[in-house]
Amino acid sequence: MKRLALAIVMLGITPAAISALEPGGGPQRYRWNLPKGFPVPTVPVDNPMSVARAELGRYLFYDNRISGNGKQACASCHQQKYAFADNRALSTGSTGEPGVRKSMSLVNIAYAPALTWSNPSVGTLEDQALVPMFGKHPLELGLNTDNRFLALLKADSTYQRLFKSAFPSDIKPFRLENVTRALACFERTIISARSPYDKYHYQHDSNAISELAKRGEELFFSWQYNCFHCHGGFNFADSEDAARGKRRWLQYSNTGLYNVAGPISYPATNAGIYEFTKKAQDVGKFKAPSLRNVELHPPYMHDGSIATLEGVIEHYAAAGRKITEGPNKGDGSLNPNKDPRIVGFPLTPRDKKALVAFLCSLTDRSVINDPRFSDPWKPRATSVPGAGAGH
Amino acid sequence: MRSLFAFVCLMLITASTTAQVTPASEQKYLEIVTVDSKVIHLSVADLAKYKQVGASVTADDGTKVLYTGPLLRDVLLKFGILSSGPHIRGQALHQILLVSARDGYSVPFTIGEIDSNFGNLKIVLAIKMDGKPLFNYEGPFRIAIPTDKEGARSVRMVSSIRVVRLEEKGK
Repeated sequence: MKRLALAIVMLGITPAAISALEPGGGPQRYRWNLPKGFPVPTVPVDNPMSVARAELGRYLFYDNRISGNGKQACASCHQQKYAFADNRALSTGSTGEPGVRKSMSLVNIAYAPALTWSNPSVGTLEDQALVPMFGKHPLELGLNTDNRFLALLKADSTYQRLFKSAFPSDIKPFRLENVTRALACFERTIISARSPYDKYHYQHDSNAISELAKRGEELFFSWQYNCFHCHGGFNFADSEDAARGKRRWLQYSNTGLYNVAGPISYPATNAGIYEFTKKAQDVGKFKAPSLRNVELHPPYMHDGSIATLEGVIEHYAAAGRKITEGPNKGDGSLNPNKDPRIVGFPLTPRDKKALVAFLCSLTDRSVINDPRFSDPWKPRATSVPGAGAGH
Repeated sequence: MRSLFAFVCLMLITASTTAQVTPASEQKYLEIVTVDSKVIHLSVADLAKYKQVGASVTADDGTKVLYTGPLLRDVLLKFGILSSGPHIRGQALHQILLVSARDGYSVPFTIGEIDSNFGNLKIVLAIKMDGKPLFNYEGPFRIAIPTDKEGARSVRMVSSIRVVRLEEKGK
């Protein structure tokens, strides 16, 4: 948060300036077209959704010019084919500097009251965008605070049209605030709601998922396996914030992944919300992300340290991970901060297959193939989010 | 009173550590065990013959759903577990219903909570959700309590309801 606050001050963005941002979007109001079970997301009052704003955000999301050396875009670590996450254990910044955590999926991020693995202080996508853009530790997009990239955008005729359309009453639309507002607007449009499970659960199509997946659902929602307590609700996440109100409350959990000797029981570079709260009981506590499309973006956990879904299930069945050698040696099941609900469960090979089948039933392939979320700089993109039929 | 509490806790812990999650496809009946160990088996078809009552609740995913089935009270009256006559009192109030699920989860209700002369709690023994059979992960039988703010007593996958008389030993 300190880094973010510093970035905000350096960029001259004050709370007053943020609140003074113009209301209203482009000429075409954004239509969510959400299926049953999916509420309208909460949207900041100073950044209402519009078709034009989301479209500008899409162009920015895929644009390498939003990095210090022109080598990376948001989409570099949030790739559509991986459900807007990544297939690497740890993200890599534009200069090649390795990150410390796995890239999170942006699918259904519009419903998430917390946006990162372990930073409880960033509450909006608009603020969150500044972290990869300007953060130095780790360096991600590596932009300088002189905002030279805005001049590059301003010189582009495509952006001249898009910015004007997205912020029609702004006489100087090429501003950093508008960049983050457009990015946030686009990210909110990436909603996954058409998985086979949704067809089964909300449309009562009993053939939409396999009998094995139905068995997995039973296990997932059972008291013994207890998966649903942290990955619950329509979004299979630990928390939910939507226009209908908060249905689930944000919680961070220590899952017994590590139990390193010493005062900090997790690897020092990845100690969870402890890094912000400095409370000993917060060591190792991370957000439980949405499980929608989880099949598409292995490896898993906050540091990508478990390669497969089967491995994750085995980790929870064992009530923690035991590492027998190396710097992270220790029995995670004995971590003093471990969530008391993680007590392990009996796991047969068939039960494991059933759980995996259930998790795979949450895969919505329309999201990874939807041209409205794809790279607009490539010729195949033909439509814009919120403007056409579909979601 | 502490011994009563300890007894109930022991029963719950015992249920939770020994139970496996039996597949829904293997559950044909709801089992009711009376205080004198009489066992009653009820199918979905049996419960459909009772007066059907609706319970509108907000599901965990935030959607409003309507569960339907008989009132648990009506089922208990039918088998003499509750009486429609004079008020129950004394030792009769020491009875609890232990509602258990296929996954080992259990919740106790007291007879006094359910009896219409006392708590009069509306508990629906649901067999349908929005007019359709329950999903495997919650059926074929579940509890729905529209007045509860939290869902923890609305037991899914109900497999048995056991009537237990608590013996107070702490006198």
